[in-house]
Amino acid sequence: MPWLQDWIHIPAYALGVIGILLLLSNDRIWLLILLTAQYFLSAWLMLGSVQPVTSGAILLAGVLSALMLFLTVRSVRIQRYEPYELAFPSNVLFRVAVGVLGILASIGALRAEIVQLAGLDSMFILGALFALFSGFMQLGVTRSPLRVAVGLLTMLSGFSIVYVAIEPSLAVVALLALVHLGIALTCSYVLLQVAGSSAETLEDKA
Amino acid sequence: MNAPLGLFVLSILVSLIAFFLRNRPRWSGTIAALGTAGLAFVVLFIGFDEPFGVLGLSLKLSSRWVLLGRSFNLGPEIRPMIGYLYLSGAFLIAPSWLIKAPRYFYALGPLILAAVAASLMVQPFLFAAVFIELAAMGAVLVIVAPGSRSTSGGLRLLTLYTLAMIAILITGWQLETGAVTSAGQDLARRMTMMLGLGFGILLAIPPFHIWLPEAVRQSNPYVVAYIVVILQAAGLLFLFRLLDTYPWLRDSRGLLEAIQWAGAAAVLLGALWASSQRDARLLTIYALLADLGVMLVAIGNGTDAGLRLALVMSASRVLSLGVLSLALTQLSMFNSANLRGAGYRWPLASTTFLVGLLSLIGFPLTAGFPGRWSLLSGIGGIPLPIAIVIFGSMALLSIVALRWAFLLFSPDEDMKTRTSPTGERIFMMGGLILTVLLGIFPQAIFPWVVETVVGLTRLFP
Repeated sequence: MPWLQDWIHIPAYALGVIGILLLLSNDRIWLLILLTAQYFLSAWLMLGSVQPVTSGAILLAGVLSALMLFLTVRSVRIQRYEPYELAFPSNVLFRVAVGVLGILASIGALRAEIVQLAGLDSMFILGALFALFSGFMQLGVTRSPLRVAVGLLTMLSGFSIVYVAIEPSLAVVALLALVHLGIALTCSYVLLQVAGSSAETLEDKA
Repeated sequence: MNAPLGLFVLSILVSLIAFFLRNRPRWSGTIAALGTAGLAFVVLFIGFDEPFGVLGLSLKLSSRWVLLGRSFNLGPEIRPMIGYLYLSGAFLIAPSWLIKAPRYFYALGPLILAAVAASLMVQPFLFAAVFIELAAMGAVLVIVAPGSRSTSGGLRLLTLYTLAMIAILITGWQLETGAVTSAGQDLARRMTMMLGLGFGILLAIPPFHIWLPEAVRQSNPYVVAYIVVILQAAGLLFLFRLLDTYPWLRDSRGLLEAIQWAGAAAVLLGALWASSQRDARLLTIYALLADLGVMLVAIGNGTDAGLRLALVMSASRVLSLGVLSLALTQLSMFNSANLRGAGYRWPLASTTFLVGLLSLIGFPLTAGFPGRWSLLSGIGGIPLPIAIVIFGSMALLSIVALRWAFLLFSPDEDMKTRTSPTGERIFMMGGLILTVLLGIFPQAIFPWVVETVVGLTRLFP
């Protein structure tokens, strides 16, 4: 699908937008929908430098990870809206500012020597950096298990885009896919324990 | 059949048996401990790549397993390290049924060991970072016990180890492509910093220790001790392999000095934080941090002797922390935040706690002492200011231990002595005796521990 590769700037910029939306969203279901969309965009971006099957493998692992988290969220019957629980200001303006900082950091990092050494298309790198920094930002402003899971997977997705391009071996793809799934599984387990404990507390109060 | 696959399959088998027996902690713990000890025996003593006989059958195990174009190698240079790891794991799993560990601990313990073993066997070895990340995921499943209300310790561990994996993989790519060959270049300096970030996380150097205090507050202290010992050993052996492979790294004076000063900072911070704690669990964690700092100082020395000392300290930590956390978990069931008079109620647990703490501090006549003494007496060859920091921290922590001894044995309303169950008494007495014996006769075990890295011939010629 060469036409997809010709339009590579679309997923690159879209990853920046998704990064900000992930920071703004308070709805658990939308968080996971955005995460899934982010995986599709990452896979599109990867088409510019790796075989479609490689890109598809990471996409599959990502979609399965998002699905695992979605099923967990559905099964534990917790409230749909995910509160920010930090001492930082958590209003929309603050989160927009954090997102913009992430985008500026990505654009700044594009000029770094180490990034240029990879010898990859700058649009490709920019998309990966957007995802990477978006993940960093999410991890920096929350400690709720679901947000941490989404932040880690976003960051890892950005890293995978670049790493699969520079180390295009089957073993690397398999290991990275395993890490995506492992993070989703671990965070799902943590979510289940927290939800179980909350349910016990509610029962105690009742 | 090949040995790496066999090791994974048998580890999974031990884990499965322990899982099915999870409602019988004594059986589950015993199977997990015996299984991991048995695997250590197989790794250390069965000959690979040559025929051997079992029940009249002639078998031959290959030491290499190729999977998806990458190989796992259980060669003679790696086997002692994996044997040591499995033995450390078995030593710590054995008494875990006494302290009401989370019931999945017995099943996940061997799996974490298998992931760490994979990190040692994989070629190219920089992919070890991915397997250590998998081990960290297993650690999170153990730390976040069922029904936990707060999970920040586990989530911080997962986040930090993911960052470490990314930092090490990126640096590894640079090293492998040959873009970085000398520490003098600007890029090499930046890459070394990134590598430092990765290993700083793996070795829990402040501020990357932040998951530890949370984890020990939210989980069973003994389980956290197991995780720390195994993950830190994985990080240390990974670092040794890196230094063995890239000579310019071990010749980089700037890097080694940075490691020493980071270690000194960890010693100082650990001692100061420990001295201000009222919770025995946090005291343990900060004393551990100081101990890790001393080990870093030994590594930063860069000499053959310094690296061997680091390994000795790592081994003595298995015993010190195991004994200390076993007693601490017993006392924590009572109330870790208020242990006044606990020495009268639980005399053996309190004594074991104090001896474990003294060993972690490096007090004379305990297992932690020989390593520190060798370092301070000049074998390591460390700068005077750092030696003063280490000695000062030992003095400060000894005073802290004395304060805790007074607290534990202060008169309280309830001073009626409780008798610990026989199993607890046996393990705690055994740990106490071993800690003191290794303090007096370090040659009994430590030379064998040092031999585990003889395969790294460029680092230990």
